[in-house]
Amino acid sequence: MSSTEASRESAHQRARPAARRGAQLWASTCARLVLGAVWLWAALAKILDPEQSVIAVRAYRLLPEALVKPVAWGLPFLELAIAVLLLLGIRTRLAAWLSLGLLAVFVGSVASAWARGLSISCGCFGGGGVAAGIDWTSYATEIARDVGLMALSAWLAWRPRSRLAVEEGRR
Amino acid sequence: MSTSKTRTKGHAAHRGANAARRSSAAKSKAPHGKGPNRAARRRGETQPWWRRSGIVLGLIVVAIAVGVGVQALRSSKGSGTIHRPAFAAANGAVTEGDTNAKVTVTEYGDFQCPNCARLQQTIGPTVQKLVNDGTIRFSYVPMAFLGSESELASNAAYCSGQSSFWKLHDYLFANQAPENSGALTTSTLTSFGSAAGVTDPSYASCVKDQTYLAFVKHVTDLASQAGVNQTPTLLIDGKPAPASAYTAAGLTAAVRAASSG
Repeated sequence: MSSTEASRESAHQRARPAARRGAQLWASTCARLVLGAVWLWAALAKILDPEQSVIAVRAYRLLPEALVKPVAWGLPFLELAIAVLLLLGIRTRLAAWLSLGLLAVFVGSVASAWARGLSISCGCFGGGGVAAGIDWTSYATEIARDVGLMALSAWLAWRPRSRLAVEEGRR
Repeated sequence: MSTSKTRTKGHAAHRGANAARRSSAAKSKAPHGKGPNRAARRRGETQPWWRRSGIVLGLIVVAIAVGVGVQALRSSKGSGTIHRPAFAAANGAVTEGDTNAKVTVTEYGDFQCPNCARLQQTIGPTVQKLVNDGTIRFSYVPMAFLGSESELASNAAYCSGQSSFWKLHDYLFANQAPENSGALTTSTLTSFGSAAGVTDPSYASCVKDQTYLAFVKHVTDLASQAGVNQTPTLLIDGKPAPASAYTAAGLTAAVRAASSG
């Protein structure tokens, strides 16, 4: 840490009670690591089984057939990128915004499948998005989980600074 | 040269101004909760966020493009040649029953799907009766979307040959284990074949070599393209069956309605 950065840190600490600031830094650290782990899991499950991803994306019936494969193959790499940025703590605010945006797209897609009465599983963590007898509660659960993750992302977009980050002290 | 000099000078001046602003900000108010531009200036970051994050965004785009390319390559290489067993239709359906039967009932299932096993218990005997008395032809399309064990099971079903397909089909549903619990491997499927009464001498090697794996994936993909995104799915003469048809009495009624209509 350079001397200017050090003085910046102390300026912050003067401005706000040190304990509260410390708690926030650790809260952001937890949010970052939890969110990063979830994205990593989601990405790897899909990258390892591209055929299932294609079926899952198609099952939503939102995209024309020509776009199904590029989205099914590319989306997991966006998730992976978000996971890497969050886990390492690089450009955390940017990663948090990307995470928030992508989750909003997912919530919209699941809600639209629900509204159209499609019986699909989300394919969120791999799997073909084909339901083995699905009930409405699983849509509600999926949306609730995504909203919870959106809350974590929003917190990180607001308070991107955290401990154990490559860009510690930066956003 | 001159421009670079002025830029350096300007930068230094800026930094000085920043330092002044920083200290006054620290004295006056809490440094957070203000616009990112001001916060960025306070940190000595003179460039807007999109320029600072541009490289990262660019790298993400490159990663996605490379990823799509790799997956496209994998899918074109990994699928291999598609061998279709002679008794299966192009869409993977295996059919039993009198060719003169008026009604065709088609089921899309996955050998690992619990509700498919339940449906087999519910309507299995009725289907058998309707097939035997020449009322329907029954088609089963083995989708494999629940993971690699489903693919192995579908492959084994195609390996069992025309004479034994239904024996293995019934056996797999009657002895279903939880999804991807390790119950379905090439070796267990080989012994399931003997238990179910599969007689084809090439069955064991076909299961082991996963001869129809590429076809199994192809069949699953075709079913998804045809809009089947739930198993079990029943079609009566190619049209989605009503929810009532997923019971023994309901199926009989739906078949009767289709044959008279």
